[in-house]
Amino acid sequence: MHDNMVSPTINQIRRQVVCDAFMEGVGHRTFIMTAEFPFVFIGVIVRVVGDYVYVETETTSIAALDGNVFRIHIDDITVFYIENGGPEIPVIC
Amino acid sequence: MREKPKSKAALAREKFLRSNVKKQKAEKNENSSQSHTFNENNDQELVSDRTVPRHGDHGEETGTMDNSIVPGNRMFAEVLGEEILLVMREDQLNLFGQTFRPIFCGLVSEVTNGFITLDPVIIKMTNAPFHRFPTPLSFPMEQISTFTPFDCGRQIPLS
Repeated sequence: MHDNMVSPTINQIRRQVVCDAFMEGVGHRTFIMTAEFPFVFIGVIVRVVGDYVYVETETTSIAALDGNVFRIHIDDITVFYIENGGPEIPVIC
Repeated sequence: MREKPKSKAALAREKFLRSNVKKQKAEKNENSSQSHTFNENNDQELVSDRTVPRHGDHGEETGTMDNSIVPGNRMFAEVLGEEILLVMREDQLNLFGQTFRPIFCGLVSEVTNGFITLDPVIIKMTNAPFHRFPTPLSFPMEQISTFTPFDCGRQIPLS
């Protein structure tokens, strides 16, 4: 993924580490906020491809979109939390 | 226990990253004779000083150059264990119909080379400026605009 002749910039490193965090969180529930519609995703991380994370949403801000598998651009994620032994994300019905 | 595809090396690297930052912080605190309490939920095993293989789940090298905080992220390692006021890049965020500016306040519980985690964390909404979020929250560094050490009990006007 990275050209080994040129060391990655700090920006690339930061983005890659966030992608890694989602890769390690596959199978876990996650809470994601983006600035773009539909703003909130709560669901299970299905897989990560490049810098997109597949989330099977159980809750978004629009009830009609619950259940869709959103491919979320990780660069757009402003806030996130991945359940990993810590506090649970509340289930919102 | 849930079965999930993960690389033990990647998980160990992540744990090493966190424990290494805690070690650096502990050394700094010893020198300045201050004491901080760290809010950690998961048990931290101290990985040995051996280099952990830097391979992601897909077999390619990951973006981290080494197993400690890179110099470009030094400003985040410095505030590990402290309360900060954190502002993100976006103009507005939306939480189930409630629009607010992305201003957060909380204790830095985790610093990696890509994101920081605040636990506990308050969202500074205009109508509920001390609303404590039920879970910790992580913030990608590329989306952070500014932050400052800050006592979360302080009142500030938001509009």
